[in-house]
Amino acid sequence: MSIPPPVAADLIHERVKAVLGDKVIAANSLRDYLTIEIVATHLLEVATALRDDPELRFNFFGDVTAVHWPGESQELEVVYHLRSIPANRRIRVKTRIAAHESVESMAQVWPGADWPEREVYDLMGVNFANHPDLRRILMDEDYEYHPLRKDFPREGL
Amino acid sequence: MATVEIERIAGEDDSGLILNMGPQHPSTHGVLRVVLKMDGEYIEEAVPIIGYLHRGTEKIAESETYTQILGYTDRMDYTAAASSNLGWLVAVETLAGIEVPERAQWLRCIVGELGRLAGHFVWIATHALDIGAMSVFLYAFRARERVLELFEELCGARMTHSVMRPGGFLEEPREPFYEKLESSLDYFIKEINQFDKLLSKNDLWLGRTVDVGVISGDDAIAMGLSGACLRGSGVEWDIRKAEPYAAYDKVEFDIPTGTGKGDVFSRYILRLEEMRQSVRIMRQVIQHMPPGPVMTDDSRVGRPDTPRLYTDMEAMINHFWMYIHGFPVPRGETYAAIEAPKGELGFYVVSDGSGKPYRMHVRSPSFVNLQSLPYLVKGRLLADVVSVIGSIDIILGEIDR
Repeated sequence: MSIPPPVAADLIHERVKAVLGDKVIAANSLRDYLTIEIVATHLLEVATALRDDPELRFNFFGDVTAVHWPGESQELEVVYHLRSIPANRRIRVKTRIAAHESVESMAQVWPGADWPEREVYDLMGVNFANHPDLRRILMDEDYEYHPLRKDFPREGL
Repeated sequence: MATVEIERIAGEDDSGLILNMGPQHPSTHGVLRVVLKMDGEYIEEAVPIIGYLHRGTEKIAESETYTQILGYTDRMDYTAAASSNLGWLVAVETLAGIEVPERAQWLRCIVGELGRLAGHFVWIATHALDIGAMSVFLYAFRARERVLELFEELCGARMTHSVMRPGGFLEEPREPFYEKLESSLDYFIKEINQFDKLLSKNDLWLGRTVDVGVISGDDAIAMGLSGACLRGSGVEWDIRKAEPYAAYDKVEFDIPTGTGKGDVFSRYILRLEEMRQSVRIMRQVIQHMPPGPVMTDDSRVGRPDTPRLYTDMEAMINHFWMYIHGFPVPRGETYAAIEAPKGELGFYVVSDGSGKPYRMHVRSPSFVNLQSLPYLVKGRLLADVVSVIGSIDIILGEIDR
């Protein structure tokens, strides 16, 4: 099984549009590769569709992280980086939630999302619903803060 | 952190033996702690506990300039600092749209592969030592010393060298570097072959590695494993080929997949081959590297020439501005991944248009690979934990960041 040549970016774009339809709020391919924005409640459906579609097959969970935009009503932006090994392409999926809301855990779709999601929960305070084992991973278990949020001071509390 | 963990896995009935391994245990490669629930000699459950080396690199990065962060990336995978540097630079350059000169791209392959060799020498040394092959440890550290000497020749520093800059290299390596590099390549091959001879047919080694810590290709993909852990299961995947950066699209090399069985032995044998491929890449780079500058002439990141600095006021202002505020990077985001010795090292950077990143996130290969440990050792013997940890090749500096 050798590395397949990358499928043309346009084809992937078309296919994603066809598979997800109006679930995609916004899409662009600035700088690197396709980025789609979706509503958080659609996340599980979108992820399963991206993984199972025979032409896309985003089978590799690359990474999850979050960006904090204080002052906005939906202040946490959760960013997923997925990779399709068969199509040799990547995609970025973004969604926005308010601090008290939660997103579905991707560990239900890709087991590899387990620890990365724990890290985002620990450092950013994003709640993942239906995660198998959502606990702090880098900080102490009884730590009260989420240090990567913008309102956490850099120079101590 | 650990008392809670111990109580949790001991369960209500408090049956079985709870064994604590680390964080000071020598075979956990740093400050990894594993709490094991044992059934006699067999492992019922293993829980890795990390975070002892957490330094908040991602938080610190938000208040440093893009060039300053380079020094923090060194401290992530400290055995192969060059790879972490390279990953960060690829991300910054993609985001800022900086063109890197051709010669610098080729030179980056040399630095990247030397980093890979250094990382893999440390891996074989510690992996073999954990399993009980003491002499390999000594030979491998001797070989690694040779790599560090090359880095010293290149830039003066040995381990955390930050030799590259956004836009290329600070300066062309001094003349003896290429000669020394060329004369070291045969030595590396000789050393690698020696490890091969010492271990690959050694009965004790085979007993501890063959069919230990097995993971199938599909499971490895689903768990997000990358690097040797993924290739060891027979999946041919290497970011240097899939999404070439630096000059990897211009050199020839193979992607070894070991025996494809996904056990410790497969990961061992393929890393040895990977080191040979590194040497092969460096040979081609030395031969085909084009002449030219190693630093971009993009005035946003390139340091003004020293003579101009002393005579031209604008050049001096530019210089001061660059070193105090950093160079501005356009608003936007990017994720760039490279093939680090441990696997896919990715940097996600969000810029708000200033000289410092709004958010920087590291997808470290060791972190994701380590989460497969409980799966790999479940139902195995206690002694296998040591060889599995060694074969995942973790660096705690990168896991905890």
